[in-house]
Amino acid sequence: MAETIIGSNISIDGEISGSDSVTVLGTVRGRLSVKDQVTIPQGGRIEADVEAGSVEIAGVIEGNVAVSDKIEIKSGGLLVGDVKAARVLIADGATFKGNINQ
Amino acid sequence: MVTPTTRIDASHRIEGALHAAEPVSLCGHLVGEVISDDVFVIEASAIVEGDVHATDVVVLGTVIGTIEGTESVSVGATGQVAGDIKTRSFELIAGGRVRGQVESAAAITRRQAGRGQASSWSQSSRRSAGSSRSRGVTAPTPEPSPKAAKEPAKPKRTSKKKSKAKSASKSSRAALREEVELSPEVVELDNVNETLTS
Repeated sequence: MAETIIGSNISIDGEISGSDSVTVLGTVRGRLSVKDQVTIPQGGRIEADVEAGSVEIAGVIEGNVAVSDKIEIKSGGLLVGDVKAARVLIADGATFKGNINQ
Repeated sequence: MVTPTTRIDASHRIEGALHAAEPVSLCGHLVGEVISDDVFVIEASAIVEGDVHATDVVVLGTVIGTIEGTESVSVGATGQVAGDIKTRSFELIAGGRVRGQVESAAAITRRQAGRGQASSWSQSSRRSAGSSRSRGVTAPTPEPSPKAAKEPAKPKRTSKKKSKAKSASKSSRAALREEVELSPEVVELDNVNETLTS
């Protein structure tokens, strides 16, 4: 399985780039740029601008998000930042603060 | 071995510092520093350009930078290190490459703790140091270099000096300092294909 998993006891300060999907259970600060999906489960935290194919948030993102396909903020998820996406899903119980540009 | 929960895939590149408190398996490219309180595995496809500080470091890929493993550093058959290694327990599997200095701090601690053990340990360590100094060695058979042959004289001198220092000033600190100075635990390795376990 070609996937990057950043565990809950990991913090990365810098830039992550690549093609395959990334799951962030820990903390990423800086910039995250991948072609596939970015998943932030509950407990995960991104303080960075995100560029991805799609983004699924149950944790926290503080930064602007640009996706080519879909962004989904799940119940309990938090996004503070502007969104650029073709499709946007914000679930009941999710928190979002920012602009949406489709 | 513990299965790492954190995995950086081969298609990914990280530029920056990575702090970890759990096992990490790196398959991708990391440019920056690694600070870990656990096992850090640099897989065969991985490249690290920066210093690695972790409890246990396993190198199966490439590291360009200093490695500091508080417990152990192991360089596997596919591993390549261009930089110094500082650790307590060092392992180099046949095929692995190290270009840099290897320092085993455990030896110094042991010498300070007990003198009886120290002399026998230091002789064997010096022999291994001598064999690894001869560059391009492929077999692990120790070739006693002229330096290694001279070695047995050294501990005697040390003990003489030690007893002198004891009777003269009874200062154990001075004796300790001498011991540390006389223990050249720094081993230079270059394209060595042998296994060293301390």
